Amino acid sequence: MPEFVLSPNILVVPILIALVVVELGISRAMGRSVYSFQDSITSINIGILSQFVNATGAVISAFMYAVIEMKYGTFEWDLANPFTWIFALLLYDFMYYWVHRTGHQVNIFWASHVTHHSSEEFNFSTALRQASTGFYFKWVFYMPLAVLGIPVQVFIVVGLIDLLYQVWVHTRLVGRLGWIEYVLVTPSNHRVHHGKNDYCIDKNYGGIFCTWDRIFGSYADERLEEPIVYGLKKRLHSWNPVWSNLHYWAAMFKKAGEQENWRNKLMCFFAEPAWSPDGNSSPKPLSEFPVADEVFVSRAPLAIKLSGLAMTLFSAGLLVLYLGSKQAMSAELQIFCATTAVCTFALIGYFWTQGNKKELQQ
Amino acid sequence: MNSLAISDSLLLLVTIMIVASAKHSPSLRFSAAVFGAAALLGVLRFTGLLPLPQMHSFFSGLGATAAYPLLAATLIWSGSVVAQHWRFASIFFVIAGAFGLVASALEFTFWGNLVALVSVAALVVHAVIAKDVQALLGGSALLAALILFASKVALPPYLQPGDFLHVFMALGLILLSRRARLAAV
Repeated sequence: MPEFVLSPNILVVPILIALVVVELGISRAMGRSVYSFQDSITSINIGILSQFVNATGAVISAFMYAVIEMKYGTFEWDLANPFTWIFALLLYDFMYYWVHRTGHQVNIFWASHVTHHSSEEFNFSTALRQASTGFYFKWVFYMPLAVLGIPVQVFIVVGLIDLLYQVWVHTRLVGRLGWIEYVLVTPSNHRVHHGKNDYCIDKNYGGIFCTWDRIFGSYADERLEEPIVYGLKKRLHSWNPVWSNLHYWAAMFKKAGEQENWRNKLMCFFAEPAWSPDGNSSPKPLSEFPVADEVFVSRAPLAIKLSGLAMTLFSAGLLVLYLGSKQAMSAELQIFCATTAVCTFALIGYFWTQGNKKELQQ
Repeated sequence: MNSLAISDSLLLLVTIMIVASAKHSPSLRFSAAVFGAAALLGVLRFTGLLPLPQMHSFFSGLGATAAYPLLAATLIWSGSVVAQHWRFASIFFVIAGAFGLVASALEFTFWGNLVALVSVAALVVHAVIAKDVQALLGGSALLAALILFASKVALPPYLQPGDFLHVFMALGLILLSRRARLAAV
C-alpha cells in the first residue's frame, strides 16, 4: 500500500461536508427547504470528479506559473511583509474577475464553467460543483502575477483563500449584509450571479471583492421582489457528473458542425454563448424557456437513490485515498482510481435518471 | 543613454500614435499597444531609468508570439471579427500568447522567432498577391527588422542589432497603419 500523506485538499473535505450538514440542519430548523437530495449528491459527485481531474490540472497550472515566474519574475517580494500577501490577494482576485467573466462570455470557456451553474438549488453543495475541464485556460490569466515575481507559494495560498472564501457565499440562508455589499462578494450578490432571471444574466463575477463588478459595470443588486430561479435556462436534466461536464461541449461541437462556413464555425467557439448565426448575441429572455414549478427530481425508487448515496461515499473514500497517496502511486493506479470514480458517477447518473425517462421524452 | 534607448523611443512614439488613433482597427491598436509596452520597457531599461530586463523580455516575447500574428491577421483578414472587435482581438491575443508561454516554459526558444517570421512572411505574400504596394513595403520593413535582428547585424559603435529591429519595426508599423487607415476609408 502506498504511503498516505494528509494533504490540505484532504483536510478541506471534512470542513466542506460539515458546512453542508450545518446548512442543512439550520435550514430544517428554519423550516426552509434549500436542499434536494439528488441535486446535492450530484454537486458533491461533480466536486469529487473535478478533484480527480484537477489534481493533475493544478500541477500543470502551478508548473506554468513557477516556470514563468522563474524566467520573467521581475521583483523580489518579502514573504514576511503582509503587504506582499494583501497585494497578491487583490491582484489574484482582480484576475479571477476576468477569468470568471471570460468563463461566462466566451462560449468555449463557458463550456467548462457551465457545470458550476447547472445546479437548480443554491446551497453550500453548489460551491462544490466545480468543472473538471477548466484548468486548460485559467492559468493564462494569472501570468501577470508571475511576471511581477510573486512567488508560487504565495500564488497558491492566495488562490486557496480566494477559492475557500467563495464557499460561504453559496447560501440562501443569509440575507443582505448592509455596507458589506458594497465591497465584498456576499450570499446576496452571489445569488444574483447564479440566477437565470433576465436581470441576473452576466452579473457579479467577483471572487472576494465585488468592487471589480462595480468598476467594470457588471454589478447587480438582488431584487427581493423578484425571487431568483437557479440553474441553466436550458435545463441539464441529468445527475450524471460526467455528462454535466461534457453536455455543453457536445452541443457546441454539434452546433459548429452544422454551420456552413468557417467563420460561423469559429464563432460557435469564441462568440458569446447566446450567439446565433443570424448575428444575434443577446441572451433569450427567461420567458421563452419552458417554465418548471419545481427543481428536477428523480423518480427512481428509494433503494436506487440510497445505493447512489453509498456509491458517492465510496467515491469520496477513493478520492481521499487518491489525493493522499498520489505521490507514491504508479500512473496506472492513478488512472485506475480516476476511471473507477468516473464509471461510478456515470452509473449513479444513469440509474437515477431512468425513472425520469418518460418525463424527459415529453 | 545608448542608441537602443533612442531607437526604442522612436518605436514607442509610433505605437502611441497608432494606439491613440480611433481611426485604426481595434486589433491594430491592440498589437501596437503590446509592441509599445515592450518599447516603453526598453526605453526605461536602456536609459537606466528603471531597468526591468525580465519584464522587457516578457513583453518582447508576447510581441513576437501574439502581437505579430494579430497584426498579420488584421491586415490579411481586415473584414474579420478579429480585426474589427476588441473582444475577438483580445481572445486571439490571449490564445496566441498562451501558446507562446507554453513554448517558453518548454524551452522551445525558436517559437517566438518562428511565429513572428511566419506572420510577417504571410503578410508580405498576401501583399504581393493583392498587389498592395504600401502593405508590401510595410511588411518588407518588418521582415527586414526580424532578419537583421536575427542575423545580429550591427554598425559598431553606432548601431546595435536591436536598433535595426526597432527602427525597421517603427517604419513597418507606420506604413502598415497608413495602409490599414486607407483601407478603412
